[in-house]
Order: sequence, then structure tokens, then C-alpha cells
Amino acid sequence: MRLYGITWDEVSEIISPSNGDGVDQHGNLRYTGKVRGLSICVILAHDDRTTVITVYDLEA
Amino acid sequence: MMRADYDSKGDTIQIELERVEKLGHGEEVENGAVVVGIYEDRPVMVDVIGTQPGFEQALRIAAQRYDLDAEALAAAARAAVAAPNRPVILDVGVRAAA
Repeated sequence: MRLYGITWDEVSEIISPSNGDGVDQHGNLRYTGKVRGLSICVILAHDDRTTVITVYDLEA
Repeated sequence: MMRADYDSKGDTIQIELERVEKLGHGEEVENGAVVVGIYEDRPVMVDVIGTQPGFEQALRIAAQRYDLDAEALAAAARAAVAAPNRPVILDVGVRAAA
């Protein structure tokens, strides 16, 4: 997260029902949203919604 | 030389191919099973999301796509899982001539 220059506040903004993007193959929740013009993906653990597994910038 | 770290809480492996201060963006492989961190158009980090049986296949696909050493990545991933929540540093040499 730090390496992509994304802050926890920005992650919190993205984790909202309107940004839900389904689940991955493990059942982890995906959220995608735009922050500062960047498309960010946040993955939350399927068994602990308070655990952020990873965060990354989707755009090239 | 690679640095790998397995986070047992998130069940993710982060493999650092090159130390950078900032990443450009992430590219998903196999529907997000692996995320390759890109900096200046080159892969510098590989994140494995979930270590269920067969995760190494996604790692192999990522290696093929980005022209990385699949065996070295697999070795780094296994080493990280063997020593969870601790950084593992690995240097894999070139294959010996037959």
C-alpha cells in the first residue's frame, strides 16, 4: 500500500458497498474505486473483514 | 536476490524482485491470484494472494508473462511460507550446464 502511495483514509473511502466488485477465488471481497484519479483495488479477507489483504493501483 | 515475506494473517506472499521506493501500478494475473507490481514498465514485485494448493501455477503464469524465473519465484514463495511472518532473502543461481 505504501509503495503505491495510497493512504488508509483512501482505502477506507473505497471500501463501501457501492464499490463492491465481487469476490476472488478465495471468497475475499474485492472493492474497486477511484481516488485522486487512480483506480484502486482493495481486497478484504473473507474470514475477517477487518483484514486488508492487499491494495494496489490498477491503472498503467 | 529476492526478498519474500509470507503474511499468515492475510495468507499472502510478497516477493520483492527489486527494491523500489514507489510502485507504478499492479497488474493482475489469473483473476487476481497474483498481482505483479510494476515500476517504470518492469516487474519489481510479485504478490501471491492466497496459498491454497495450486497457487504456484498462477505464479508460473505470471513468470511466463513477465519473463521471470518461475523456479526462482516458486523457491522464494516456498521459503517464505516455511518461515511465516519473517522476511526471507533468497538468491537463486543460474542452472549448471548439463
